[in-house]
Amino acid sequence: MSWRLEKLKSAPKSRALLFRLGAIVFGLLIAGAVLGVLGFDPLAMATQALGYTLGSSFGLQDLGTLVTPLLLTGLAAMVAMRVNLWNIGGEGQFYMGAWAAAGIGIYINGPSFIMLPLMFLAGAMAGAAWIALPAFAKARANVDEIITTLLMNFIALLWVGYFASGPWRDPKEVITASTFKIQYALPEWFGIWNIGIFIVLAVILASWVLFNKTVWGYETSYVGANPDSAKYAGIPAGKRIITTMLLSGAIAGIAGALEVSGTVSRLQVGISSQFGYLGIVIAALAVGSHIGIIIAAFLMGLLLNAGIIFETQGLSLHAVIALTGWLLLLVGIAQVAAGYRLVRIPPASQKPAG
Amino acid sequence: MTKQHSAVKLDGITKTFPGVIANEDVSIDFRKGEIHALLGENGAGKSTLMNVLTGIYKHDGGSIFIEGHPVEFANASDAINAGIGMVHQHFKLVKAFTVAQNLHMGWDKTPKWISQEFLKQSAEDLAQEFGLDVDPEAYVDDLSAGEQQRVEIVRVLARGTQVLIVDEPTAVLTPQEVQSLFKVLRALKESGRTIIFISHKLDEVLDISDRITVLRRGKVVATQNVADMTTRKLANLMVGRDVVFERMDRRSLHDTDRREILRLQNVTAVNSAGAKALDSVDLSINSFEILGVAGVAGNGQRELSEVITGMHPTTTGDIMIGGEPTARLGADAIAKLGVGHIPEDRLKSGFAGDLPVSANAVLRSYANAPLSSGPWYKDREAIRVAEEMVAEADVQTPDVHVPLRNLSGGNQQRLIAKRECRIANQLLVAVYPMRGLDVGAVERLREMIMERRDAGAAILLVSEELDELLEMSDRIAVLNHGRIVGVLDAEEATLEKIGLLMGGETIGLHA
Repeated sequence: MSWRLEKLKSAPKSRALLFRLGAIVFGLLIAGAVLGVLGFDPLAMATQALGYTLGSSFGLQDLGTLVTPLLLTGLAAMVAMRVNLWNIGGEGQFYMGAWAAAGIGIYINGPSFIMLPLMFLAGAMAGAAWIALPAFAKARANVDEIITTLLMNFIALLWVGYFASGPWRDPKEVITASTFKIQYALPEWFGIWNIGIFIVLAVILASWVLFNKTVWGYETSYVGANPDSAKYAGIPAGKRIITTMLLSGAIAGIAGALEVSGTVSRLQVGISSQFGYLGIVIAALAVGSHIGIIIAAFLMGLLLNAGIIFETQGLSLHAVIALTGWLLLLVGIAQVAAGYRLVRIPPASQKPAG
Repeated sequence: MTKQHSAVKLDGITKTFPGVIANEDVSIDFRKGEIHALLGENGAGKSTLMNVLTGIYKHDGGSIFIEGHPVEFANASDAINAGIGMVHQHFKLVKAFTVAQNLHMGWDKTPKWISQEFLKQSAEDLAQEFGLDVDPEAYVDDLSAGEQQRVEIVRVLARGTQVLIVDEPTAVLTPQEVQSLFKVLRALKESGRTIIFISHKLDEVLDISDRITVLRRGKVVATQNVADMTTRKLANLMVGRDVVFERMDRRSLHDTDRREILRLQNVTAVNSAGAKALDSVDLSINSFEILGVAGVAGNGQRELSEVITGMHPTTTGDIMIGGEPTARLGADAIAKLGVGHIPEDRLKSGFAGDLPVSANAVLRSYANAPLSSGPWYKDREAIRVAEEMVAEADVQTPDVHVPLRNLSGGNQQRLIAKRECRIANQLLVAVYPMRGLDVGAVERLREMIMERRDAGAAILLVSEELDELLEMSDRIAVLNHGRIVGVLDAEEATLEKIGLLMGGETIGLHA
């Protein structure tokens, strides 16, 4: 008796969702088993991590600082996927957004209600500028955006490093290279989260409206789903692709601006904590859905926060990064597997004579 | 070996997909030395059945017997080893390889180390063995569709095939090439092989087969000797009701205000490789008129349709639609003038397959009221309009939210025809609109096109089915190497005249 895979004519959405959830549960179980073998108590660790993260105001605060930027970097990656492109440069756009916002925050004086919007605007523009070159190269000459957006990240990292350790450096900071403190901060909300989370949710809502409720969104989704049909439809695919990419960069840039105006209050080299790259993971988990971005960013925030707690118990933070990679791998497999089913082949009977 | 000897017997084959019964209790006996036609509408279960027979799918119930012995195929190579081979509608050849290389590719009898001389000699031997004329050193890319098909047949026969399945083999051939294919199939039959001939062209099936099995909704409706069959009976069996194919009324009755809608003057265009695709084309179509365009595929049909609809630039010449010069306009501006376009490759250029049916249905109307106002797109309206179109065009789909890719080819074609007819107030450019459709779907599509003509639109109909062109068109233009080599009035056009023009013989006819 043997088994084999057979492709389904069409896989219903509920089946795909079920497979993805199953993959996450399965992945967590395996991870728990591995921890168990290594001598940890996975059940106690999970309860403790969840209890702290969701059950205390410190925990919720930590969760908020993680989820807020992840929502935006996840959205940035997903927006690019709408036109079938990969924005691997979320990390660099995040850094440039943070850089532009910090520059304004440090060197321009004015009332907060003008300065904060100005910082966000500067962040968005810097993020868009950072993806402009890859976007034009893609639309005009079909240069692979995966390579170009990725390479721009390293430039951004060095750029910020130069400013944080050179011209903008706060000489009183001796441990890490960091700029002067930025005097403008987002107001807090119930003393736990700053209002950045609402800005983020508004951006997500605006993106949803843009892609689902406007003529521009219809045209962009259409040429994104089939660029070959753009000429037939009479939709200028190149323009739509460039605009969407710039939008994606701007969103990642806003995440950077949010980080310096809300959480960190300074520009420093480690300011992103991989948020740009984790955004790609979140977008992949969300599979094109705005609600999916919220769920995936929340899950990712929980995992990262749990990782910080596990670190105090002797587990490396890298183990949690490895766990997210493991979960993503399983979800990717589940997504493909949902399109197949297993069929049993009865024991081989006799072959024809001759 | 008697004619009654069974080659492959399917006994009660059932194959289900979640929610769909593709084949139900299918029993067919394919005999040695017969050409057995398998007829059925799109979605009747022909492809699934052949996928079971060639080991690609595993059936859920029933058995397969080869020469009386039960067999189980775990995979496709089991079926090939059991002597079952298939020539697919879209050839599985590597175009950049020579004929000899293609013949020896993926074949366990090909030695590990081979020379060009060996390949050539071995290919010649194979061609001779099966009596098929192929040039071993020619590159597949340079061959005509008919020649490629011959290579494909030799390749399949070389694997020891006793049961040869040919899927829609005549779709890409000229009438002359069809006759030579039929000769080959008859010779193979005489050698004792079994031919399973899949088609939806009734005339052809009656011409070539010994017996015919008709499938409808996954079940066998009848297996009959060809002598007992007529076109009418077959169409009735396939569709389940009477289908009326009469010669369409030429020219609508109320054509008093006939005027010129489309005019092409001295239009020249080059293809993507820079070669001349259209050469000094002059054409004119009036309102209430259907102009058929005949020609072997690849002689400028695609470019002709694309320069008219604004998808392809012209190098010289003028195009007027309804009196307006359009040669410099884009596809959206031309569509807005009331020009519909059913493209050759619907899934590649006419649809975004991953988007829902609704988004695809409104491609020509999303920018107008009631679907939008200002920058806002009303997706609820889009769903309502799409549901209306789906109902009117009789598109079979669970709802308008499923990805368009999930629709069968016939349903995709009905939807695109509906979408384009809705805007075609002046001109409808239809490129191979009936390709791959079954009789029921063809009937419905013809009605849609005729309805446009009767409403006063001009129709440009590109087709490879000469009978269809003769039945529907008022005039027939023939393309050869990008030139219009003749325009015939339908009354004086015959298959022979068109066939000669298609082959490149220019005859002095009025243009």
